[in-house]
Amino acid sequence: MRRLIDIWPIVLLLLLWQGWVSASGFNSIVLVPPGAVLSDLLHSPGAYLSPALHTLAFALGGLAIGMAAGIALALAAWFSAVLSGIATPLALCLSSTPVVCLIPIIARIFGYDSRTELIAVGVMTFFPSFVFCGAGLDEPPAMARDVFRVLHASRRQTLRLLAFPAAVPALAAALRVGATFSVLVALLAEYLMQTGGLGALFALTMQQFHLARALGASVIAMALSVMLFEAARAIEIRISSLHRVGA
Amino acid sequence: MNARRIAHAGVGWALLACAWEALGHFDVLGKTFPALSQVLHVFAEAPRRALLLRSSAATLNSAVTGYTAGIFLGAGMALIAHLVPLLRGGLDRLAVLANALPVIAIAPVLIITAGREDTPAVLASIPVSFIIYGATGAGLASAGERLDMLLTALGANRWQRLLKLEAIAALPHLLRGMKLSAGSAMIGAIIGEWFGAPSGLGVVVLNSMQNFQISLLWAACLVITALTLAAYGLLTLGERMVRGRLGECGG
Repeated sequence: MRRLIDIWPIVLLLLLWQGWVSASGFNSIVLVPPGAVLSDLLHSPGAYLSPALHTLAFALGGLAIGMAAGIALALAAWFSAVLSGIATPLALCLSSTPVVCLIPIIARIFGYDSRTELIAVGVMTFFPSFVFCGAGLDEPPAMARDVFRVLHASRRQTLRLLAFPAAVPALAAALRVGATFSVLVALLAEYLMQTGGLGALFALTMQQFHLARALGASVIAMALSVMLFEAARAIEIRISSLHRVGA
Repeated sequence: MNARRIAHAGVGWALLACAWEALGHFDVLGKTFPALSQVLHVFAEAPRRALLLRSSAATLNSAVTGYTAGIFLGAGMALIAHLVPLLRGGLDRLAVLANALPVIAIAPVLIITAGREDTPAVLASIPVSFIIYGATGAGLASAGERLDMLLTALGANRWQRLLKLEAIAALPHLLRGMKLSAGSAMIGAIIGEWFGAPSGLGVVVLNSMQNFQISLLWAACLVITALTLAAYGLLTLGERMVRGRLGECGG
């Protein structure tokens, strides 16, 4: 019962969609009812499978590259005060710029191919990773750092035993932010460059007025995005509860 | 310490500008990576400057319309969820869904329903409304049970509690949400323009990418970045002012 009540906004949206289709009386080429999208999804799942896998692979691959680069630079900035002073304001500033809008520039620099898609996802997920990881490494209170200094811990030992473990929850948060970003950027890159995947399927079927399939691609993309987000959030909740027990 | 931080940040920006100029000047990354001076030169050419100004006005118009609508929609939904707990679970789930939603996935539906011209504003309003929904919801709940009980004991009804306590407690959260969502409004408006809007910075970006007008492409992206950062800066100032004012009365 509870579950039924909790999906009311989605049911409402579907009803509005269906009602709008019936009321407007447009041809089904211009406007498809939700039922037609569902039936295309059920009757030709094969048409969606390989684009979905393509998008998923590039989203995850780019996410891994972006996260790794962000963590690497955050660690470098942690070791060097000068580097941190120079890079942190830049990254904070750039992370609040609409990087998604820069995909056309990345496409022009690296060419219209799949490699560019990977780079775009990597660049977009780099910023949250660097910003969150940097904040996490600075998390331990000054007193804890003093203890390490008194005990003559080297910079490397302080990192391994204090700063890095403290940064793990922030990294999980970065993963959650990056996970939603990754599917969005992969889709946009595929849409703009038509390199395959759901974004390209969507662009092509829109041009052919095969709206049921275009919207089907949308539905699959939403499902992928929500799945990645939920998975990342589950990891985050798990890590933060472990962290609380550990602390 | 503060002067040193500012100096570091200044060095960072100067290094970035020099690196950009050098990389572009010597064509290290190819013809598609122009020098900073070449990009800035676009602003000196009257017709291109006029194009960028006109497009900025169109994009800002969509972004601000979507932003305002998103704030009202988000705050309204948060209020409904706060007052009618039965509907709350559904709205929370919708917010998670919308948060994870790739905007491009709903663009075709919007083009059909809202039209090509209004799609940027609608696409701007969606992420804004869900950021505001989350922020306002947290704010309304942050008033604290003890003050709530005190007001109830003094005979305040539901509306009075909402107006005099919870709405005020929600204000700083709402402002933080407004600050965080400004960039999303800009992204929504520009991506919305990629789906066939008649004018705007997104259109300039896409057309200059396809027609290989590299310096115009970069100049348009520079304008987008500057506009977003300016909005973010202004809202940060506003947030600080409200926090300072509420901080005085112990809020």
